[in-house]
Amino acid sequence: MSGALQQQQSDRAELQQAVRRLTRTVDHLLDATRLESGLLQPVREWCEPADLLREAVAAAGLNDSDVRINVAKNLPTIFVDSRLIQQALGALLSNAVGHGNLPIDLSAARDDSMLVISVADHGPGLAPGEEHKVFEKFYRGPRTRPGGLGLGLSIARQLIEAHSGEIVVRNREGGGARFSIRLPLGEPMRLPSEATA
Amino acid sequence: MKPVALVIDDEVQIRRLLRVVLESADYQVHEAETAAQGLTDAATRRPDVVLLDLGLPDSDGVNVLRRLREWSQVPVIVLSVRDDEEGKVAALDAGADDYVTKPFSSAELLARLRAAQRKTRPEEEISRFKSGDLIVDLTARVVTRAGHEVKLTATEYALLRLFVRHAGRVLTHRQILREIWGPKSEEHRQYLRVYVTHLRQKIERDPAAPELVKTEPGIGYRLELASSV
Repeated sequence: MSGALQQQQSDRAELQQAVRRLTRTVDHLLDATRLESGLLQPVREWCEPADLLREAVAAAGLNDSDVRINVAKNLPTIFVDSRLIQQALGALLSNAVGHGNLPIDLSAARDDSMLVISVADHGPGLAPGEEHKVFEKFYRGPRTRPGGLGLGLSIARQLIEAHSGEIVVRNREGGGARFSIRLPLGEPMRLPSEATA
Repeated sequence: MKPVALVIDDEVQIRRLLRVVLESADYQVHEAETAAQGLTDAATRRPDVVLLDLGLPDSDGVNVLRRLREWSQVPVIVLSVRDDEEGKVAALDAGADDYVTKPFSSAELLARLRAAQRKTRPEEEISRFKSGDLIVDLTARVVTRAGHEVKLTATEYALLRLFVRHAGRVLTHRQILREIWGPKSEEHRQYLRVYVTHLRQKIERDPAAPELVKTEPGIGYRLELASSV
């Protein structure tokens, strides 16, 4: 391949990356605005928690060696907007990638009437008092990598709150931060009945 | 005679790349830079397949698709960018056969082209689908995995039959709902993922890592094409 063509390709890749970053920034601003205006209504469907986790990992461009997925057995299906939950998980995964060494630990388990999804990283963890600040709009921690507006986690919180859930973060023992999404399971699913053919 | 491919894209680099890939696969390639030129070429060159960029300067790719579909059933593969799930879904629902996301690999593009050109055949014409240890016999309505019969519910079977008829191609949520439940499909939308999960539990070797029914996040599902007889 000629040198000029290689140069062109690397310029092109750089431009594409810049455009993606800009698109993400604009999307975040639009999402934040939509969430605040209350216009965003979840379109709910019955989802398997394992599916939600796997799809969020794939959508974030991560693979099995980047993220260790651990899903408790016999979890019920949950009635949520899969796209929005995956978007929230995507923000947590992206945050974990930016702050810690891989792999990230992603898990789902049941806690009484709640589904708990946790994203745990091996990063430096949170400074005292940061537990609430990280979810504030435009908050950028001292260890945040450059680029971005500091909107990802605040959007994640609002997406989860739109599902009557909550999101919290604690330092984990042995270092790193653990973000936990808690979503109410609600009434169990009743599939329209049918016989096997 | 070589099959004719029409590339409608305003980016010269993409057209160049596609020309190299398509010519290596023995296509004759025509290029159009604009929607207007593309529609004219589609009428005059009579391509066997169209590759259409969604972000054209003079018109929305989805509009081009609608105009084209007024008189032509030529297979159309849409070229789209990452994170434009809405655009992809709109194009697929407007009659595109499939999509590839830029940047794409030539192997991926050629696989999509082959699947799109196979077109949807009526059920009678595809009597049997085989992939790994799964065999679907549509004539006898029998599904076996590793030699054992798999019992499916009516809905699971209808889903699988739909996937087999469109093997290798993406189906949007809306297309699946409309095909299986007809005009009153909205009430079933909330269960679609569950039906797919149940189907996977019966036909996949490892339902946690599906190899047959793949999810296209934000768009729909695709039955991977291994071999169909």
